[in-house]
Amino acid sequence: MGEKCLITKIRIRFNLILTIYVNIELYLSQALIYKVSMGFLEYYGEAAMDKTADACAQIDLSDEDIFRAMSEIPGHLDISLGDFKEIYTKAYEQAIMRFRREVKCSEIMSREVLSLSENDTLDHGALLLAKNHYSGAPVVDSDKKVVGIVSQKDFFHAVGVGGIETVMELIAECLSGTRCVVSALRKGLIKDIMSSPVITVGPDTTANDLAKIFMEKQINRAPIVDKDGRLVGLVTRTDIVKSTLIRP
Amino acid sequence: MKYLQKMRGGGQSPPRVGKPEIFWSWLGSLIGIGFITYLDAAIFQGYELILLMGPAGASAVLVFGATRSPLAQPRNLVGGHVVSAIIGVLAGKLLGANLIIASSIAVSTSIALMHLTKTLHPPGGATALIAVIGGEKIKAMGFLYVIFPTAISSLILLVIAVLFNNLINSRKYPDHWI
Repeated sequence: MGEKCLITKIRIRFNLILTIYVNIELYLSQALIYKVSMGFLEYYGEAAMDKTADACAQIDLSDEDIFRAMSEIPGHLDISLGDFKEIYTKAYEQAIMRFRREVKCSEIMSREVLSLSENDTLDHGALLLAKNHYSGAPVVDSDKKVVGIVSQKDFFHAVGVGGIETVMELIAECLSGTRCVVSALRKGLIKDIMSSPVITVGPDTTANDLAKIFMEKQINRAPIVDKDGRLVGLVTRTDIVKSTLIRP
Repeated sequence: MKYLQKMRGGGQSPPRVGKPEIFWSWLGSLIGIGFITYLDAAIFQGYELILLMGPAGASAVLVFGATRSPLAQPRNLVGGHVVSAIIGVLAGKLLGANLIIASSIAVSTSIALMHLTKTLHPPGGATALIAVIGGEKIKAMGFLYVIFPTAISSLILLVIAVLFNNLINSRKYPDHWI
């Protein structure tokens, strides 16, 4: 974590050096925007591994940075370095908060979602997922209402015994024991192995709230449903990270 | 301990401004104070009025030397002087019998009122103080002191600052008017 923090800090400083050639207003706004995206990468990207990563998103502007920036600006700036730093830090926090408040799931979700039917057979479902390079998909009933979600984890679970979460664990299990019975799965249906009930959210849920749900429930994707529970989209952790990059 | 530690400061001193800026500050204030002194001698003295007073020198530091400063903006320059002049004259009239009370109340109340009206302008403190301790001539002016020299001289300084500072590429004045 320490190293990643350092990289962030270096990038931030590099950006500052780039922007101090612009006038002070531009300088402030650009740096802020950049920091917002960097902060988000840091937040969403690393938080899964280390909750203290949030601290990395904090400003690490050195007095030297501010001093140099002030030197680039002609005219007497009636502000102390400490005050500037304080304003910058607080403004950055405001920007982050605004950003987190504003982005909604409807803006970042994928609309073309591969969904499986609850009565699909497991081999059909697995084939669909494999073909599309997905590791999971929402499961819907005949009325298009979301009734569950199925992922690698559920397949692993069905193949071996409980507790298998990675491919290596599965291989190890299959190589070492007799509990690995892949062929038996052919007869099964998606609804037999899917996780249900499933955590769904509405399109107006903010990305920030969903990120919290991801963290708390330790899940990677959430179907977005309309008022009637019908599938309208899907947001993955990747979508949240991506959304922080493409916004200005 | 925290109290003593705060006295150590610890912050870094900001950078010195560039040489061109120093020259522009010098030239602007030269023109500004020069013009006010000229008007004072050529016109105002003829009418037994004052235009040139100490606080104008202090304001020149801000509007020519720290153009970007919030303290140097028009609202502060004119508003701060006028608010302080009113308080200063009032303090002199009401509390003039006791110089210690009158001068301290004049300055402190000016600062409070400048804060309240978002017109904080350091030279205002001098404007308020001079209304109390400036001598008989100032005292005799009464509330005219608010107009001459206070309001008029700060307005003249404002006009010169706007005309002068914007001739320079690196300067923009004011940042905001109100």
